[in-house]
Amino acid sequence: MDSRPAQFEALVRAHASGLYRYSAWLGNNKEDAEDLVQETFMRAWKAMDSLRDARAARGWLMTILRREHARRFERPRAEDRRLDDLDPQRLESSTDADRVDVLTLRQGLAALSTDYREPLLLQVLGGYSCEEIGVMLGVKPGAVMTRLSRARQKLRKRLGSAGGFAWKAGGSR
Amino acid sequence: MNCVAFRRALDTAPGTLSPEMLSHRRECASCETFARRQEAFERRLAEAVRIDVPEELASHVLLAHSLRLKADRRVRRRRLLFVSLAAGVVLGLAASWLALRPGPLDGEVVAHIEKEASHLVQRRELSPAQVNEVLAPLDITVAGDLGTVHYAGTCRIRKRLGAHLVLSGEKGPVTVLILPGERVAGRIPIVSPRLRGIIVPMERGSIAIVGEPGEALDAVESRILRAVRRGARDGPHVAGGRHPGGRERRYA
Repeated sequence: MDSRPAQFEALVRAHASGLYRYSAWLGNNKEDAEDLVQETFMRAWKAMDSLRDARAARGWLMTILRREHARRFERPRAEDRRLDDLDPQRLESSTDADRVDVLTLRQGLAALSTDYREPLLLQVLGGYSCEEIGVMLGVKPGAVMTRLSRARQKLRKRLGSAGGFAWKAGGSR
Repeated sequence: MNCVAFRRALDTAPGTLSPEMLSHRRECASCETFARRQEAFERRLAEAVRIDVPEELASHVLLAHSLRLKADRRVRRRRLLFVSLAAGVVLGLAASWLALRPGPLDGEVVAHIEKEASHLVQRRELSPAQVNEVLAPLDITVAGDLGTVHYAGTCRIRKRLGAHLVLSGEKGPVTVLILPGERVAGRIPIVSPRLRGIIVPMERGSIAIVGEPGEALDAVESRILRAVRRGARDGPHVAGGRHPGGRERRYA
């Protein structure tokens, strides 16, 4: 792709949705998510020359977004705003039970602290390994593994107490 | 691999099962069940994080981006215009300053003599008292022999009050300009097609002595330096360099 605007448009079309979801979960807020995505791409435009490998684009954009999010919301906000996307009709799950599980998971994700939610999002949305997440968050891979494991445990527990998904899968050796 | 390690590995990296994990899964019915449940959990989790994205999000981003670039360009253009105007004003001021600032003193002296060339042909001989009366506003007195003085008057060079004397020389008239406000660092020769001269530094100013080519200016200079004194010989000092009568005086 030759021109800078064309490269930029391709970048936006390829990554806007993923960034939006990451942004919404990161801030637990859909209202600010689009603004944050706009700002991320504005900054990306200015720094386009520093992006040399197209395969690194997603991680590069997520890093810009994380920094912008931290800059905007460096002061902790009251947790009075939650993701409001819990309409079961919109979910892809085939059965009502599955839909309830997904809604419960969304509530559980929103309730997770950022320390647990962020590595989980980077893994599930971004597809990053523990090592890569460790680099992005500035923590050791072992700490990332612990956070990921605890985040899943909390979500499973929430599912269990909501009457969904049974987790007692028998004894272990 | 034991069950705890298997389940922890699944919890931290659910999509990647190593050969060792696959082997344990085949052998352990309990972990096989756990893994199946885990896969179902991951499918639900992946669906949970995939919240709806606003329709046409990418188009909104691109539109907002292009509008913002346009706005930024407008701001940059305004800034450039302002800088250009400011630079124009500064250049204009600099050009005015260069145009209005005085030229070299030797050139100004020659120009002044040529402008007031009529004084060079005066033949009247002035008395020392008449000369001192003219010099009084400058707080200067003549206390010795200047030679024959044909003209004495005050004049302005570079907007400063000075004295204009015309003496008799060997080759023709010699002009002496006493310039109290014009300090010079050293002696400055004056050379023009018709005149030769010298500007001599004094305690609080300078004196220009200009005559015809070949004139013995050194002798005139010695006479002047001996005769001219700072301070009034008779009467009070005139504040502000003005004559008591309030007008510039001249004798010719």
